[in-house]
Amino acid sequence: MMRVIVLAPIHNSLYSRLVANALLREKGIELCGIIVRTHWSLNRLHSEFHRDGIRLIRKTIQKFFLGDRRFSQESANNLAIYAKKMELGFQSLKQLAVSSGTPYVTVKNHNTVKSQRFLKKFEPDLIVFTGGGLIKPEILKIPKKGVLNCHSGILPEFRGMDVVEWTAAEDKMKSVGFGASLHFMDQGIDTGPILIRKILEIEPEDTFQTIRDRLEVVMIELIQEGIRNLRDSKIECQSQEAQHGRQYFVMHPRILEYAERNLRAITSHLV
Amino acid sequence: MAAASRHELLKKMKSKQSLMDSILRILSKWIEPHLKQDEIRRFITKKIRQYHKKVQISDNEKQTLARLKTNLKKIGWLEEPYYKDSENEIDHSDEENDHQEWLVELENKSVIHNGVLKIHSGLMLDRMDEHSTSEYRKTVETQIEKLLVHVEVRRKKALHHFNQPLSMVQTLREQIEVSILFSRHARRIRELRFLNTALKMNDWLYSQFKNRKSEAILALYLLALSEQELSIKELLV
Repeated sequence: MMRVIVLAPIHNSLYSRLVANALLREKGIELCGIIVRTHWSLNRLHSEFHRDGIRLIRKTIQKFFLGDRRFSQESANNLAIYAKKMELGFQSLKQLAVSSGTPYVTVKNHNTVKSQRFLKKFEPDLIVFTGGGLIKPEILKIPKKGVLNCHSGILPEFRGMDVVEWTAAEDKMKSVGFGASLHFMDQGIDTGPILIRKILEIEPEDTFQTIRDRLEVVMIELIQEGIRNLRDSKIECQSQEAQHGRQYFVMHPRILEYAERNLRAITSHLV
Repeated sequence: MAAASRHELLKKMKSKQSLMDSILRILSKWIEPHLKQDEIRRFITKKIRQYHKKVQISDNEKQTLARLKTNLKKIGWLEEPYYKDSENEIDHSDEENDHQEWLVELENKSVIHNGVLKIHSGLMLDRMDEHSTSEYRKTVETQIEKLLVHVEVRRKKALHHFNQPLSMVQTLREQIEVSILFSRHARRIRELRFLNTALKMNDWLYSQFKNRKSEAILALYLLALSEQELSIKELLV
């Protein structure tokens, strides 16, 4: 039995709920704990606003006022549609934990002593990170196998933030592609050993939003596939060389306009 | 019946989303103003006119304005350069020994150490980036990458601590020089990440100049904006 703990950014994250739910259904896997960051923390708000600026307000409004309804009803595939398909009944991770008898804790951030104590107590083989800030080495070294993360870009080429948009801005939509990479976390930003990568096909009506919507579903599938393979010892990871990729940051609106033009140039040929 | 209620739900969702988008657009202008191309053009034109009315312009300012006008001509915003190109093209290639010494003197071989930046990093790295031989090309690129990460991680709080005490104007000068370095480096190696950071830095710096607080280094900021626009012209096509 492989023991797994999920780290989540917020109690009602649909992505985290789907990952935890998938783990509960998986044979040979024991979901032995869920750690969730608390809603309101001044430090968290401050650091996230510093990083995301106005996007944090958008994210907060969407999460608190729209909840799961924030996912586009018109999109062909997104987390909300996937959740329906998976018959996810839980509205929060706490509900999921209570119903399944999984130990559950809320922390100010994933690197706190409280978080470390919880992790050491339940001795996981693996941690699955589903969001919630940077993870410090003290946490990274607790699980026997490591900490898994699924990144919404192709590694090692596209590390960091806004990588869907950067793939278009760098005109690497055909040579590298939009996709997701499952990897172990290390101290760098998306620099840890890669387990699986999956490239997404571009569709005629695609926008960055529809690509992100489909990617989130792919990311859950990759986590499941990776965990199964780790459980069955059927997978080897491939280390990344620093020089094989670049770290990207939040994209400026003027470069975003250019990236959108590049994407339209590709999708218009698919019609 | 089900289709009709779904349609109603979609309509409600769309109106909620569009209301939210409008609110966010207004907030965004207030919290994170982004300069648009026509705004930048108007700003540069207006400020150049002010310079024409000035009686005394230092030699440094003259050089900066000359380079600015050369850039504007390349962008297509100015019909004729005010000064001849030869007047503003200063060759720094004979300073290679000084550059190497500067690199060797770096504490822990980094322009940033514990969040503290060595002064003149932007200016020196720009010169070295333009003229460096392959011998220390890699070191220069590593230092520019370090600066990029520092600015992106610390954002508006970046580039405020230097290895010497600086006045507000000197600090601004250092920040503008880093922005110029990023715009030029983006063109030299055709790398959008550096242009991306220069764009953000120039947005942040704008508030210091729109109300004429920092007249002393206005010409340098105008140059930074023109370097950004020149990179956009060359890279975002």
